[in-house]
Amino acid sequence: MTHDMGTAAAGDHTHKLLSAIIEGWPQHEKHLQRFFSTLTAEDAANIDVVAKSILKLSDNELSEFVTDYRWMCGMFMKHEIAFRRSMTLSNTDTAAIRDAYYDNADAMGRYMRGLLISQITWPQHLGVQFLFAREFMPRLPSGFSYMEVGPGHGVTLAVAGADPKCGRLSGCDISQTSIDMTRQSMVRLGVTRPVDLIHADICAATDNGNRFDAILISQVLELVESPQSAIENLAIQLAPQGQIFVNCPVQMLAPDHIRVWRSGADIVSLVEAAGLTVEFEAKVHADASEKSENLGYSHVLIARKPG
Amino acid sequence: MQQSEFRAFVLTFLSEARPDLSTQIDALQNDEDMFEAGVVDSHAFIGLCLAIEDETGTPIEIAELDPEEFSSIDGLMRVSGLVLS
Repeated sequence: MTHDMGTAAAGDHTHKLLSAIIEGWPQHEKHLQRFFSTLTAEDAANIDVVAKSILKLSDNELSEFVTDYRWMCGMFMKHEIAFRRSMTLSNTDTAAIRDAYYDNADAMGRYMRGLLISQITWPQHLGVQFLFAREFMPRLPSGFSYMEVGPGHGVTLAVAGADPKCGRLSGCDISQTSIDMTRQSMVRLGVTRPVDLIHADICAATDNGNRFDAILISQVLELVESPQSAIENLAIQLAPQGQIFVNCPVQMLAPDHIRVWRSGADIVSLVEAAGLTVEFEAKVHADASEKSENLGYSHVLIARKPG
Repeated sequence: MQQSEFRAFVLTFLSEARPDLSTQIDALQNDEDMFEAGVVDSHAFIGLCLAIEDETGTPIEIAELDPEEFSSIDGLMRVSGLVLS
């Protein structure tokens, strides 16, 4: 069964994936129709690449992925409401969160599958993908080396690796479960180039001499105990003139967050304190609602290392 | 708060949040799923729940509930401790 998403620009993979999501969660149909009817042809083409990857990764288990997505959305909503009542976090115990998610293969697996589907259903995730494709990738030099913090489902890592200019591909994560999933994803997505995947804590990373032209850190700074150490360590790993793409939720919450960023200016200050120069900034909202500013957004910035 | 007042409160909130959807919002039935009607996404729904809590002074205890159980005007009224008239 297929569903008319209201745009001729949406590609075949997008139609197929959205149809499966609506089959599993019919209440989503109008929201998806409305969002996808506003896309430009360029955005629709970028989305279709993401949709193709999601279809490959979910393989014959797409309905289970949609089930996990529904589970994740319900969990997020309950945490979000509890957070907004007091605007404070109920759980900042990193050890407990690590036990509950990062070191729990079952919970982490469901969470990762849900997050994968959200890459095409949540406007803020798609908006960040658009900025990555439009604003970050064209800036990178020929033969660029790329490192992603927390590559998870591997979709963005594969996009970077598919760029003809890419020379070297790496990823690091604090969760071995996540590393294993990324490794499987690279195979499923047909990434044939070598990918160096490292199990490491970026807050405690020691300098192994690796330098990168490009680093991506997306939705991580709200999870780590010391964002300052994380950014400082990543700044060390940037090559001279290397660039970092930072995406961080502001005034938003998920069950594994231990910190709520209150403004984009705080993230800019963090990056500048590590000696990097911010060259691009954007806010990505969850929807066009006039009240969405109060309900948080994703703050994206691109910064460069001098030299 | 009566059902008609509650409905008016919900529709006003939604119309302020999404003036571009005013036609669909005005046509929303009391027992109609707001997600299915396309007048809210999860962010707008969270904002609505919190606004209702502020208005009624009663927290919506959702920890054990499936959001779909109260994603209609009637459902929200029920979990807010208000009696359907």
